[in-house]
Amino acid sequence: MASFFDRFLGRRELTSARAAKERLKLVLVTDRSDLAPEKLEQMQAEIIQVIKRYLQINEARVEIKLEQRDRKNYLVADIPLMRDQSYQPIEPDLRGREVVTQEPEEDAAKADAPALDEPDISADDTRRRRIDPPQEPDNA
Amino acid sequence: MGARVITITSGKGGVGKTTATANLSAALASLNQRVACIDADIGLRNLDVVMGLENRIVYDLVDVVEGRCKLRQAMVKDKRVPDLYLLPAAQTRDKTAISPQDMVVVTNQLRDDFDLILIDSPAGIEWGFRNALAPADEVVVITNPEVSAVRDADRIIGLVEAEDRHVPVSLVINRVKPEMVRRGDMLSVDDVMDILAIRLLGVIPEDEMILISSNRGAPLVLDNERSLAGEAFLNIARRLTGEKVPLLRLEQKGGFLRRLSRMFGSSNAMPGE
Repeated sequence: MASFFDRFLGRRELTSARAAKERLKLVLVTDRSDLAPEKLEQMQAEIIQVIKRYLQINEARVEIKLEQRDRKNYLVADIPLMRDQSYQPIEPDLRGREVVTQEPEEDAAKADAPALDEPDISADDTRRRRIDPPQEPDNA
Repeated sequence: MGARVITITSGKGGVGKTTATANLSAALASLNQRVACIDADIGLRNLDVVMGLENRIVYDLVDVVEGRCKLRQAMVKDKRVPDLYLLPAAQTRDKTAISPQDMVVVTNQLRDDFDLILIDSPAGIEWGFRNALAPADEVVVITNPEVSAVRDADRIIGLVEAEDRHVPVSLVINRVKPEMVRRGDMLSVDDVMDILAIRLLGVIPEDEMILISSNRGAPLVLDNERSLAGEAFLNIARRLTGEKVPLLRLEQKGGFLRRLSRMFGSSNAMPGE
């Protein structure tokens, strides 16, 4: 806590205690969830891919993070939608798998945007993996 | 069922588990509770020296478990208080000499003769900690207001909460320096509670008397001249017996908050320094 005088003068310095608290909060989120930060990023990219099939979202402002309230952990997602939802999302077929109705070139380029890892994999490969990970691609 | 078994643990070493066990045991005994304390730190026995009972040990916990003596023979009586006994750890053996099941058996044998059994857990989260946790009805986690100790406390709390038995956990924050908290250079009690979010059992201020009392092997709470830390331990002991004693936040008003405000008053010539 900053001293009375700091607050009186409107100063709000980052005291070492505040730094300690902030650092602890961050490290404990990772400790408690047992989920490494890069895994969280990967999950965020995958979640975005799923939502994009149904809604137009402002991808740049998506925020998905683990948060602690009391001793419970929450996965909190803040996903702003685009104002214009007239865009036709990709329709899932009966088995819940999407039918790609977009130009493949364009889609692949978009899917590549969050740049995860595996830089040597072709854009097409990456797209198929992200959208349809465990199953055999039957429409490929 | 008899005695309640309370395990004192921390994860990190050096935060004051043994000091807390010694002082709480003595304080509880001075409140006319029948108390047994068990040093579960096999190979690194310490509770005996802190309590000043090191010269009276004949047998130890491992001797009991391996059947070389009766449990009663290994219990060292503290003559300064009515009903306080220590079951010392073995010094020459390693932690694997005892299993969690052994700890359950030994504590169950003691339950009928005591009101409270306090177990001083070794640091760490492995074998020794598992031994100390196995018989616990309650767990008291000791931490210090510093990043490493709080992080380890969180880990320990997580491990205890993961038990199927739903053992209640509470927290003691040890070595709080009000002056550093005021300057913004130490996590406050509220900060730590905000992060760990469990029941607060008590707060112990940093106090030189702790070292002096362990030098002498005379728990602070038995000292006629009451120190601030001794007072805080006594309050925690009262809370453990179910008495409602206000937490140190309020005690600070009479105790070190007054001192603190004095310091505040004298330091206002150089604000923010």
